[in-house]
Amino acid sequence: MYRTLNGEEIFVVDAHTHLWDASPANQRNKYGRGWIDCFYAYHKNLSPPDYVWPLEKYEKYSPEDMVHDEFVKGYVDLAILQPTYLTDFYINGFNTLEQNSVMKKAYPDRFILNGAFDPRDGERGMEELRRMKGEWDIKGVKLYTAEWRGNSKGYKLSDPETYHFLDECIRLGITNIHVHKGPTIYPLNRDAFDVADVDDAASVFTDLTFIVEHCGLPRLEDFCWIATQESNVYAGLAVVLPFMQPRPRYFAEVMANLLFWVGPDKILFGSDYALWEPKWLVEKFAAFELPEDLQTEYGVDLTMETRKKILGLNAARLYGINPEEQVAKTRGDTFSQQAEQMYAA
Amino acid sequence: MPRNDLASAETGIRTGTTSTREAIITPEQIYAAIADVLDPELDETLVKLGFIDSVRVDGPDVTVVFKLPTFWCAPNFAYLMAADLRSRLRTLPGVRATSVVLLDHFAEEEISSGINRGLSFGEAFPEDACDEDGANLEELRRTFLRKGFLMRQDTLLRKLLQAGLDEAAILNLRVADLIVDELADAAFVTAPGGVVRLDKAGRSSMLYLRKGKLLGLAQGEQERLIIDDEGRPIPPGGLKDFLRRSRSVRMNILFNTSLCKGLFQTRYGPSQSTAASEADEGENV
Repeated sequence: MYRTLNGEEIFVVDAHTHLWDASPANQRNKYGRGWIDCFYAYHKNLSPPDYVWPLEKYEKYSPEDMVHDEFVKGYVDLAILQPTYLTDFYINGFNTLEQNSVMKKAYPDRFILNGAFDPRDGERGMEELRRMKGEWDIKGVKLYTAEWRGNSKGYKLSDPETYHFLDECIRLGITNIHVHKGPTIYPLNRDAFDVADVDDAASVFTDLTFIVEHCGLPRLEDFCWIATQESNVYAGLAVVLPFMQPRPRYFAEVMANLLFWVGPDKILFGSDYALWEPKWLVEKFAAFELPEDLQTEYGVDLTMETRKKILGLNAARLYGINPEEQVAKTRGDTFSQQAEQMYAA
Repeated sequence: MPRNDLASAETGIRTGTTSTREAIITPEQIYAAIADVLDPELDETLVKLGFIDSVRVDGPDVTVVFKLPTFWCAPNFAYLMAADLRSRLRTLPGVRATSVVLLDHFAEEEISSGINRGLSFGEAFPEDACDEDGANLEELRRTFLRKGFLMRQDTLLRKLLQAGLDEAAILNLRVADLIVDELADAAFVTAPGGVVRLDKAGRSSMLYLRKGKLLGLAQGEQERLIIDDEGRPIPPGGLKDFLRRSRSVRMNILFNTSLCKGLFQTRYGPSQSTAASEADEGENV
């Protein structure tokens, strides 16, 4: 819960978080090294100096670090864990459902655990998806279409095999499909930033919600076009938000575009923890206003009501969370108490 | 040729007997030859972005070494840049062997050796089963040419509006109505009420015209100045919609540029990039 200077309370869902292990012991090859080095450059480049971690901690942080940064320091009421497997780069995976489940087990009221599938895994992958549903009752999956799998360097949402899995998602009641379309690792033989396959799948699977993480950056304008065509396409703000700090004007332009094309009900806040810490992102975003020229040109405004939707209410709706009940559940817990103490002074 | 030999060659003192006078190539010539090679996605030159690590001259043989913001930068874009560097090097008079080397990239070997053997992108990555679309780098190049065209046009349009021209006047302008003073970064437009000076619009206007030409759009003196990326006029009353799209294209390129420059500096240290001006200018319109 974030309280503004005039005492207004904002319910916060961090819709994009990870508990990863990129320690040297878990790195399978030079790609594992290269992956975390690249993440660290994003972190270092776009975090305020006080929020830059040492590399060693960044490679592998503890569950205690995570709950502190999210729920005590970071104002977050509820965090969604999004897995990224990368088993070709990391021996035990980078941030699998199993790795993330440590958090869900320890703090069930504070986390939503998402699963994943990869259509290239065939029947075995289908079984695994059913197991995730059975064991964890997952409501969403995170898909990484640019992931390497042996000789294959990626897949598309429009592939027939993917359709097969999306059908199964409908059957199982897994309705939130988070798709990584952002700065990516390997668009070798195809343009993996390309969001056209989301358009295709979203128009076929109208019962599913497609949350395009990182708003399809660096193809934002293509993404916006798709999102106006398909009512079930949402924008995840992870990676976009940190630009509030060094480039507020760009961030304002992105927000004006998203509000115009996608609309205030279909944008989700996400820190991409531990890429960035939620504390400063929440503080800055809760106070962010659009310059007048952009308000006029686009006919949109980033009002407090809209900021509340983006910071928590939209994600809550997608995941069937009642904000009042959720707050009641965690009101007395250790993290709420610690947060009260931290911010009382 | 090692640096000291090069220096003596420049002052006319010959230390070796193997190379002929015609074959001497200077680093300055190399930089001049590659000066216009773009990062297609950022629409900025590699030289200004600081992506050129070094150039080497060994008699008539030349090498350009370049590097990118991340280990994972898209290999197809990297390949485009490497191919452009190679083709520029081959235009140097007296050049014999050319070599382009990409550093610190997960596919540096495939890209460097593929380019230097004159392979297409698909040939350089055979086991990755390139599909038709992905293998066709020309298509990719054209996509970014379009985006670059719209970005520069957006700046020009906004400067025209700021100068007080209305939609009808803007859409009626002809190519001949625009005169660019590149040195002063200014554009002069003959509008119904007289000549209007647009500050900080010279470079954008020039690039707008140049990219239109490269796209093959009609740009005769009496043709319309403002056309979309297919060469069609903007319908009357349609400028507002058009501007929203062109702004999102421009903003996206500037956003990417800011991200990539930041990552490059984080990776290689500050003062590697000199392309700050364009982004700063872009923020003000």
